[in-house]
Amino acid sequence: MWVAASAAYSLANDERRWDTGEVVELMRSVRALDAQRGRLRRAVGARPALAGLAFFLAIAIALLIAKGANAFGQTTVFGVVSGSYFALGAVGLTIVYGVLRLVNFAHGDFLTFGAYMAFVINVTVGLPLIVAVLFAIATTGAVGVGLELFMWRPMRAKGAGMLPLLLMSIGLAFVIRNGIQMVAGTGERNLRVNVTSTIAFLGLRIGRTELIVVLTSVVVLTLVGLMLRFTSLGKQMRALADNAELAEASGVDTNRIILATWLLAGGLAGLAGVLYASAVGVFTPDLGFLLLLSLFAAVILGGIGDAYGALAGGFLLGLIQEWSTLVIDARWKVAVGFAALIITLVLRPQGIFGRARAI
Amino acid sequence: MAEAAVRVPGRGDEPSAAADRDDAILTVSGLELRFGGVHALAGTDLDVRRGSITALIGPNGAGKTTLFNAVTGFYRAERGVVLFDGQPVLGRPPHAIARLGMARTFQLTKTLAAMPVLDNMMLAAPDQPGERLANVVLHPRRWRAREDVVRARALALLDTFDLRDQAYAYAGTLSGGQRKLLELARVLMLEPRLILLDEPMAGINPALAQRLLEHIHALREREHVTFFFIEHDMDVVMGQSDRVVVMSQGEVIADGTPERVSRDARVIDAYLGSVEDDR
Amino acid sequence: MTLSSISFSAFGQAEFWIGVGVLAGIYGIFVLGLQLNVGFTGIINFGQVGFMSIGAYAMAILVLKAHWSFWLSLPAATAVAVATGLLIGLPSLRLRADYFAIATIAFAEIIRYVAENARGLTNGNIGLLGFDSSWVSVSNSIQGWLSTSEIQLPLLLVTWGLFGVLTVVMRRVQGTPWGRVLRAVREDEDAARALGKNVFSYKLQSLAIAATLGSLAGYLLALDLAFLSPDQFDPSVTFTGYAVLILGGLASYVGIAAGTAILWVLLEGTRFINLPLSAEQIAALRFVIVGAVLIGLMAFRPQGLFGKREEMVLGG
Ligand SMILES: Nc1ncnc2c1ncn2[C@@H]1O[C@H](COP(=O)(O)OP(=O)(O)O)[C@@H](O)[C@H]1O
Ligand SMILES: [Mg+2]
Repeated sequence: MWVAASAAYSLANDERRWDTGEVVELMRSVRALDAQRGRLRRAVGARPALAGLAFFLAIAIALLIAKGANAFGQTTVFGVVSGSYFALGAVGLTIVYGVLRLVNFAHGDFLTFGAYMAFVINVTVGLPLIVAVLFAIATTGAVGVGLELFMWRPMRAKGAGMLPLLLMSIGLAFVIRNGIQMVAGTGERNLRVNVTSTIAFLGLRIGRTELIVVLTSVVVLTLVGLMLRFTSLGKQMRALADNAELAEASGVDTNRIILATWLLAGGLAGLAGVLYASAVGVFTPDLGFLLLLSLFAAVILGGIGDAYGALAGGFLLGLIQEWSTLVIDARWKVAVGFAALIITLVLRPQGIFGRARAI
Repeated sequence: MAEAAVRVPGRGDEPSAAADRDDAILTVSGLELRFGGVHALAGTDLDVRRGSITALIGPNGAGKTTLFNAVTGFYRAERGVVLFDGQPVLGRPPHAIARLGMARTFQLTKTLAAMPVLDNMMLAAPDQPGERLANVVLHPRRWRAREDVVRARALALLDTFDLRDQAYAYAGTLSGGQRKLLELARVLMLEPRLILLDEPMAGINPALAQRLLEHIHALREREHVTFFFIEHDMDVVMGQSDRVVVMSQGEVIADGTPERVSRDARVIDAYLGSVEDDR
Repeated sequence: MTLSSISFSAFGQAEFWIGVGVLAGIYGIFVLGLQLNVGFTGIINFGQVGFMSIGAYAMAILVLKAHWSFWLSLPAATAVAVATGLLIGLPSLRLRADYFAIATIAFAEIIRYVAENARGLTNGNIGLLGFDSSWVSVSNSIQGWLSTSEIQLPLLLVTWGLFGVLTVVMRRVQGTPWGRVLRAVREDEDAARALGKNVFSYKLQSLAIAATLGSLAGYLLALDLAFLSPDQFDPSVTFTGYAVLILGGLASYVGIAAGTAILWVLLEGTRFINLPLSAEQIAALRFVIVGAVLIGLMAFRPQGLFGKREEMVLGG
């Protein structure tokens, strides 16, 4: 085996001349070697999602054994809580990418916008939080639609390439974040939510608000998933993401679907912003900017453009970040998420579930 | 130690000795490549004789472009052997293969629109020391001298291809046909021994196509360049090539002189049949 | 609301404008690296501030913790920045352009978290002080020699002197066969490969040089502020750099000087408009301006002031 490997090596790296017969001979032994190595790789390659899941479970079990059920359980609860707003934010980000091939750097600031809109209704005006949530969803969705009409659509019509669109979204991020800061200041704000009362079960604690946040997120994400799979709108979105030209040729009203995409992405971002603000308790105009890269991490973990992937990626990221606090100091947890982002990009740019399909 | 297990063939042989033994400049055997479920190359075997003008034909999707991409290192074949002038090239990166003397053009021209025509040409010149940063700083005279030689050769070639007047225009301003000419002229700057052309005549007017063919023949006569080209126009294939290789579904189904191939029942079946289907 | 008026008196404050000039020069050097990457190689580097941060911190740590000479620490810190550039480039330069952009911004953010949290080395958010005494004595003698009372004038001269020299060098290098290969890579990697060019190696070289330029900008920023803290290196530095880059024009080294001068006058000029705004609001307004400049340029003049429309290969 070793002989074959080194023969293959010298074959690839030597400048000397070989005739066909000898090479074929050599290739035969190399092939035998390849077959052995190939078996393991194929086993992993055939079911990348399962392999990824197995790896993830192995880590979970190792942590569970090493750190004890309670510590592990508690970090898992925290991970699910942050995962729930990561997932909401990431789904919108990834759908926009899937449909428009636009990496929207302003998406994080959509979350900020949603949180402040909720603040206006919930605190300034003094209406109940549920009204504030609906208002945040509506206004942030409207911002998404408005920007599509006045910015992205004209740019697409000009045939703008990747860099101009990237930089435009970054410019937009600056304007939204600092616009909010000019109006609202940099001071910490909080919504009128109960952040003190907690619920305990099996020795684990979860804030009452946090529980509501998780439940809301799970319900909304399920609805979005069903919408994408079963409604005509969802099918057209997926068609557009899969192959824009083909979708257009088969009668999909591209502009209408794109508007719906922005409405959905904006609405989800607005909701995610409010949920974040509720779960964490305080927020500043930096909220979305600080979250953006984590949202990218969730999107990339799940495979960019894949809505179900982003959903899984969001919860995965939450768990990775919180579990990391069992091993290293909690102040590193955000950086751990970024490292997971880079590692995923380098090793599996199609995402750990490895689905090449968009949305 | 492991080295000993490998017989070392003909180390120190002169290149010409190898050439005499084996008349093929390019040998492909058992080449395999899959895209998902599609077996784009299913054990392709062929060779291209030194100094020939060999045509590669086959229905759309036969794997012709994929073969070019695998042979020149742009795609990674899963198995098989490719020998260029007696050297195995599979697994080498595209730039290394190009430097060995096997150059290629693309089905959709890849002229560099944001660079002047002359820069397109000069870019392709091999052995320019000024492409290394260290030499740029340490040996300015050496690369400038080479640059003068390269420029002269580029202008001469542009002259041959009637592009001299456009030398300083951005390549993006050229017509489609002129771009094809530029791509061929540019590939010649590499001083290759074998040129793979992917549908060089597609989409250019007949007069220009005629000129392109004249250039190809002249280069073969004068510079002993071997040509291996993909073409759909049967008149061109039958009239201009010495040998024809026919591919279908990733395999070579016929190989021989134009006359022999055009009478081959399998070719008529697989190729002409499916061409009709396409219409 | 009354119409805002401009207080012209403030324009006379030399000290203030020298400070603005120093910053503009630092950003100029910073953006030379971005121009090489984005304008001439077609790689979208969103992590340039990471190299700036590494250069500045490595220099300060070598001086303060390892007690190296300041002058020796400069090349050493640049070497650290270049090594990091190679380390991040080796795995990620093979990625698609947008993935690479995301990978580099993540890299820069990780660097910032390290600066914040590796407190033993960096003092975290308290920051580092006192690494610049060697420079201060040189600066003082230049000041005496010029017989000026402006403390920052020597730094201004050094910064713009260096910026000028580097601009000329980068332009010269761009005109060589090496620069020609970069432009080919920028437009079509496969075409460059087919012509025998090792695309990956050129992209790596481009990133390494950008890292070098970033580290130089980092030293100057450290000397300007006489202080280092993680929040000086957040991603908005990179994106302010992009505003300078696009304002001056892609694929134009000369444009950078104009771009940085214009942007900084615009940013600092807001101080002299008597808006009924708090300091906090003014700070936010500056970034609104950066954002608006980016949006406006992309919408109406993507080639910037000096860029060539013909060379807008990343999509204009
Ligand atoms: N990059 C690719 N990804 C997936 N499938 C491909 C790719 N390139 C070619 N194919 C498929 O491989 C087959 C051969 O294609 P190609 O070599 O382009 O054919 P030809 O050049 O003979 O028309 C086709 O079925 C084509 O769809
Ligand atoms: Mg083809």
